[in-house]
Amino acid sequence: MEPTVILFAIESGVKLGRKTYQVLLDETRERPLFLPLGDLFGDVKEATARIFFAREENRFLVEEGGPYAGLSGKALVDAYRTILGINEQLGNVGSVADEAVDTVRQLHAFEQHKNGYGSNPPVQRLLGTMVEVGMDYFSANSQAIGRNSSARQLIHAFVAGLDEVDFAENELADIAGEVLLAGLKVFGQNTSLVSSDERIQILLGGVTGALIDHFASLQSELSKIIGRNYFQRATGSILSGTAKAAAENGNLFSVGNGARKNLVRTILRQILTGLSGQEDLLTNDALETLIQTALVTAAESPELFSGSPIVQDLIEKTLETFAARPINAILSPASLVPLLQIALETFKENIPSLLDPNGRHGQYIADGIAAMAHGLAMGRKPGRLFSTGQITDLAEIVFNEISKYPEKMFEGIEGGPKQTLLAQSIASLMAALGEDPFRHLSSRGLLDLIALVLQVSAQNADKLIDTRSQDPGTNLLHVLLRELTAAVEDGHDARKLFSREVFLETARRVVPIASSNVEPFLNGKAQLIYRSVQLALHLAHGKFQNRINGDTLPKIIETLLTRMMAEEHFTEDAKMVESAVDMALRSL
Amino acid sequence: MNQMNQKLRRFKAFLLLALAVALVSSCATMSYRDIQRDFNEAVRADNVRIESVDALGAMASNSQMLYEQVILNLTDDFIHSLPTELKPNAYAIRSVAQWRTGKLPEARLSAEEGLKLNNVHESPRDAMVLRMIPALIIDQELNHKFQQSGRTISEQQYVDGEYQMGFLKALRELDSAMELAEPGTPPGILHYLHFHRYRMLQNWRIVIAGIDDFAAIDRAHREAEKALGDSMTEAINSQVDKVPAGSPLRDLMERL
Repeated sequence: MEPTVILFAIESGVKLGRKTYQVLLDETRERPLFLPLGDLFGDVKEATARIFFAREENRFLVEEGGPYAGLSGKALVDAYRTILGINEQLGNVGSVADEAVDTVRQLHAFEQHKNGYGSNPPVQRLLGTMVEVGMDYFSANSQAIGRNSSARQLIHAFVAGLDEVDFAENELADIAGEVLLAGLKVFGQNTSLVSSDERIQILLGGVTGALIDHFASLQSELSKIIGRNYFQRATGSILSGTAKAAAENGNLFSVGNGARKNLVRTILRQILTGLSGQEDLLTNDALETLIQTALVTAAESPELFSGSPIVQDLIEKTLETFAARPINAILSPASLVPLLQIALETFKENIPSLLDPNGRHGQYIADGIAAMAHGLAMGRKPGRLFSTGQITDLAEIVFNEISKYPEKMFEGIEGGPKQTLLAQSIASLMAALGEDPFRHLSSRGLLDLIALVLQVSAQNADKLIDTRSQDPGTNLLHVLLRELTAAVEDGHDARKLFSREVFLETARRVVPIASSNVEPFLNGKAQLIYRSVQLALHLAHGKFQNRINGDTLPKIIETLLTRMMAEEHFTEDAKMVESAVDMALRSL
Repeated sequence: MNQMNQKLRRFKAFLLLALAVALVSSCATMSYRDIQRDFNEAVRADNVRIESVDALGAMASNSQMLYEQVILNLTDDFIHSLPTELKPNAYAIRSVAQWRTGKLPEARLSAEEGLKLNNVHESPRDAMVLRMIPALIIDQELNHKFQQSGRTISEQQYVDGEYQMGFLKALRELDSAMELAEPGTPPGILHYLHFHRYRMLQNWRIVIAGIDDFAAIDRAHREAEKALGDSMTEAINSQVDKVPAGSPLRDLMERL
């Protein structure tokens, strides 16, 4: 199709030129129409059965004394079916209606002319739609019709970019019209986001193609209605997201490369398919952000993203996670896109190490989100723990660790995301902290501690985490952490030394020491952390009350723990303990 | 000089008139496209009304509302304001909407108006639809009568109701419509016609089967076949055969 013809038609339409206005008239006259199927007066099968039994040779069957006397309706149809023994031919009465509905749905609109007699219908109907949209727009924005205007450039590029889009159905041309209209609204006054004509082609062509592909894949009438409504709401955001991605990464629209040209269409289609049925979860702004991130990520490795449904898998699997109980009570829908963003960005930065050996890369990284969410949720009462911003920070921490130790973090994945080292590590900490983790830690502190336990677990995975079980209580890591929290909760702390910061600092010092040398804890001496905290508190409220404060307390606990791990009878000698504390304080 | 001025004034007047005509036509065309869109929506909702899902059930009443909207917008004045090229389509759309909303005399008039247009043959699909309307109206009238009887009638009611005559007349109207087919007529619209012929034959059988006495059913059925000059089953099957395999219309006929 020649873009200049359409532009000329639009301009002429606006200027009311009769000759080119004919283009619109022809298209309107030849517009395909749906036509009604009319009514059936009753049930065809029942009529067939009654007429069959009414035949003289069969009538005895339904007359008084006959086996089917008094039957009517479905019972008579059943009798007929029995008599003829043609169940298969008649089919199941119940399902036929459903099949008929499907068939009705497939009915196409009726063309005005036989093929070859009118103009090429798909081209013609697209032409009409474009002219219609253009006229609407320019009528309201007469200043935009200038010879070198952005809007003019946009329409030109749009039409030229539609070469590869199949407009076999009338409704699809309407969708293209909606994209153009949204494009004019978004870029009509300002194409600075996408400065090149060819880029606009790829952008608009890709968006149109994706919307049409997605729409064509929708099966039921209801889903098509929902789809159209969604497109009307979201097309502007889809275009904006795509344009911002293009502005952020020039590679996305590198011209002359087939793989890149299809990338926009492929990724957008994956996003639409991934969100299918749950589109309302995302606001327009969130959708825009998701599209931008996905496209920028995909532009880094177009062949990989074109050849594998990474984005779709990631979205679908993450939506599953968000819908699962009790995660749906812990993560708000608003955190969906930030999580997907971080997952994609981490993937982009670490593609070689984050490729799934089985090829389902999207599912693989989605497992990271699922494991994190399960780790937070396992064994807890439902309720929001973190704000969306904090969830984003947590995801950054988690994906940072995943990128460093992918194999370790996904250890146990064969049992599902809950059983992974990642989930079990987080769950071990959360279970140790109890129902209200913020009693011991600030939000930021909790995030820092999660980062710490992930690092510690990765270093000594087989000893600290039991990936054969979903119960965090079976993990040695949990036992260590529980000792710490129990000691703080049980300890006498009249001076209130254990602030949230002190707890965090203590954990930072204690956990790595204990987890690097688990022998004393494996041998039933697991009270060492508990005892070292209790002892330090005792000293801080007694002999050393003027020398130990919140700042020095963690160091004292670390010292005591180290000594207790090294010397079994260390605490039995009070002088030795005091000397060790004294030396530790002097060294500060 | 005066003559020159006069010519210029005339030219300006002509230009203004031309622009005014073009402006009116342009606006009408754009509005008309919205009406076409509403009509398509109405039919889509109409055609899925057998669906039991609530959401789509709501579409059924929506179809009536949209048809009414189409009728309301397609006034005689509006159709007259349309470019000539669009008038056959406008009459076809209006008559179908009137048929589906039970405004049968109005549907008949719209169809007649449409068929009177000199350029109706330039819109072969619309011409075929307009020509089918009388048959569809008769079918609808018979349906109304049959439904009012509670779908069970006596042999006498069958005779008095002139069902046989009605169905034969409707089928003949469809035959006449078929004669309008020309090389440019799209096959789809011919399949649509065969579908309605099939549907009317089925409706006839349903009415016969609705007679409250088996012997009378047999008599009416034989009489119908005699009038048709063919076995009813054969007549129905031949309509199915005229629609190519794989067409949704054929699938529908084979499933019903």
